[in-house]
Amino acid sequence: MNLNRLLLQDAFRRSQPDRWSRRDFLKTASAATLAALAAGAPRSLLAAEPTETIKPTADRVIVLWMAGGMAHTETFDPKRYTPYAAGLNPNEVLSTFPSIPTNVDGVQFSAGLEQMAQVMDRATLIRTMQSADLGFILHSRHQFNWHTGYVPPQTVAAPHLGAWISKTLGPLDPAVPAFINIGQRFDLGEGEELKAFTTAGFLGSEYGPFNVPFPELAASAVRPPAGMSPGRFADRDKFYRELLAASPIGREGSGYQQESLLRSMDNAHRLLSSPASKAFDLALEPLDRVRKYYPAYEPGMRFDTPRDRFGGKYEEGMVGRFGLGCLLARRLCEVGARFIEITTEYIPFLNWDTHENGHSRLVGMKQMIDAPIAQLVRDLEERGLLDRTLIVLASEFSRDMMVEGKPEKGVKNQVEVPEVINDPKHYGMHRHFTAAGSVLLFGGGMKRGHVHGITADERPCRTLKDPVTIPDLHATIYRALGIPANHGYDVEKRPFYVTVDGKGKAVRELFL
Amino acid sequence: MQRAALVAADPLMVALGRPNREQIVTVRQSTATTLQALELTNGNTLAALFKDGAGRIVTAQPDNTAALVETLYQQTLSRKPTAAELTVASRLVGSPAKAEGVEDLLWALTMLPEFQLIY
Repeated sequence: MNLNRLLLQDAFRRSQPDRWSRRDFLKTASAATLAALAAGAPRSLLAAEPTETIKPTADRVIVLWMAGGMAHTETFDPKRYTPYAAGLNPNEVLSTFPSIPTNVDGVQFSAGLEQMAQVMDRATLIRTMQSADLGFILHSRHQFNWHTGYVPPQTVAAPHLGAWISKTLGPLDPAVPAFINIGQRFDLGEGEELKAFTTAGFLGSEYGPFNVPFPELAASAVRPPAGMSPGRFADRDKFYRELLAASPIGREGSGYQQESLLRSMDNAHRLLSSPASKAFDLALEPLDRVRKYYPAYEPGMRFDTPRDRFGGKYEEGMVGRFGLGCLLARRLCEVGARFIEITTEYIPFLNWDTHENGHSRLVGMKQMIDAPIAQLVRDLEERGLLDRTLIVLASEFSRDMMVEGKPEKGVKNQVEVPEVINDPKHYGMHRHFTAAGSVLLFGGGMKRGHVHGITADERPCRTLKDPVTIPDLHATIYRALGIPANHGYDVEKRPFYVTVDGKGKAVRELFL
Repeated sequence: MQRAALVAADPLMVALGRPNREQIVTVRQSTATTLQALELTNGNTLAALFKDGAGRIVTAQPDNTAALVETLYQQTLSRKPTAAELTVASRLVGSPAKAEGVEDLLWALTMLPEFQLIY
C-alpha cells in the first residue's frame, strides 16, 4: 500500500497550475468518492409509504434476558400446583411451585418471586408471547430470532435489537456506548452461535455491542490496559497528540477519514477519562446498596472463575453476576445509556435451560433474578428514570413437562419423560414450549399493574386470547422509542426493516 | 458446532470491522468508530502484542535510541522521522531505551492516521 503514498508524492511533484494535483482531486472529489465508497454500506431507506411520526414514551431500553427458556407456568403465569411425590403422573403436573399473590388483585406469580410480586403494580405482564415455529428446537435459533426479528440463517448478517436502536437513535450520551451487553461470555458452549446475533450485522460494527461479561470487572473495560498505570496512560495520550502535531500527515490523506479516526480516538479517550466511566465501577456503589442486588456481596469479589472461587458453588457466582449486572445497568442508565441487555447467561443445559431437575434448578434461578430486578425497578423509579426507561424481561420460549413446540405443531422431543415420576430429577419443565410465554414490561410508557392475554389453565397451557408475536413485541418496543415498525435501511439495494417486512404491529393496548 | 469464521472473530477483529461470514456486504466501513478506538486504546489483544514486540525490540537495540526510532518509523510509515518527531519520540523511548517507552511509541505510531489510513 506504499504505492498510494508514492503516487501521491509523485502527483505533488508534477502538479502544474493548469493541471489538478491528485490532492486537489481528492479534495474536490472526496464527497462523491466517499458516497461511492459507501455504496455497499447500509443507507437509510426512503420508504415507499411515508413512515409515521411517533411521540416516544421511552428514551432507553433494558432487556433482561432469561436465557435458555423460562417456563411461564413456573414464573409469571402459575397454574395448578402439584407437589412432588413418588409415583406422580407427569400429565398431572402443570406447576411445581405454589402460587403467591402480587400487589395487583387477581394477578399471581410463582413462589420464589416474592420481591418481584411487590413491583407488579409497576408492570405490564404479557402472558401470551408466541415464539416462532422454527422446526426442531434449538436455543440459538430462537435467541437469534428473538434478538434480530429475523429467522436464521440470513444472507446478510441481521443486526441485534440493540444495534437497530443504536443505529437509529444514536447514544443518549456521546461518552457512553449506545449498546451495552452485560453478562454473556462467548467462549462457552454455542458461543459462536451467540456471536452470530450479538452483532450490529450489516449496520456496521460502530453500532455493535460493548460487551461486559463480568459486571464486577466492568471498570477494567474503561480503564487503561492491564499493567499500565493511569499516569503512564495519560502520558501516552499526551505523547500521541504531540506526535500527531509533529507528523506531516496533515498535508496528505483524506480529511474526512482522518477526522473520523481522530474523533473516535477522542471519544474513546473521553469515555476512558469521563465521569461516565465511573458508572462502570461498582466499587463506587455503597456496600448496602450493592447488597440489595446481591446480598452475599463482599468488596473485591470476582466471578471470572466462579467454579474455583466459590468452592464449586457455581450457582452462587451466577446469582451474583446477574445481580451486579442489574446494578451496573442502573448506574449506566444514570449517565445516559441507550440500550442495555443483561442476561442470566446462556450456557447449554445450565441456568434456565433445564433438561432435568427443573424444579430444584428453578429455585436458584428465581433467587438469581428476584431481588435484583425488583431493586432495579425501585431504584430507577426513585431516581425518576423509570418513566423513560422501558424494561423488557423475556426468554426465547417457555417450557412444559409434556409438550415440545406447539400442541398442533409438535416437534421431536428432546427429553424423555417417564410415564410415572419416581425420581425428583424428572420433576420440572424439561421440554421446549412455544405456544405461550411470559414477558414483563416496566416503565417506558407501559401500563402499570396490567395483564395482557390469557392462557389455558389445563395442559396444554397455551395462548387462548391476545397472542403477541415477536415482530409485534419488537414493534411495541420500537414504538415506545418513537421508531416506526417499518423503519428500515437499504443494504446492497435490499430493504431491511426493524421488523420483518416492516409488518410488526405495536400492541397499542399496552401503552398508558 | 464451531465455525472458523466466528472463532476468529476476537474482540479486536470485530471492532476493526471483520464481517460475519453470512454478510454479503463487500465494503468495510470507511469511518472509525468509538468501539474500535476503545479496543485499540485499551484492548488486551493489541496491548499484549505491543508488550511482546517492545520487549524484543529493546533487547535487540537497547543503546541507540535515535536508530531505534528511525527503524520503527521506517517499518511502520516507510519514512524517516522528521526532526521534530525524532525529538518527541526519543524523549518517550528514553536512553537507553525502556521497554515501556517503546511499547507506547509502537501504540502511538499505530494510532496515527498516517499508519491507519495510508498503509
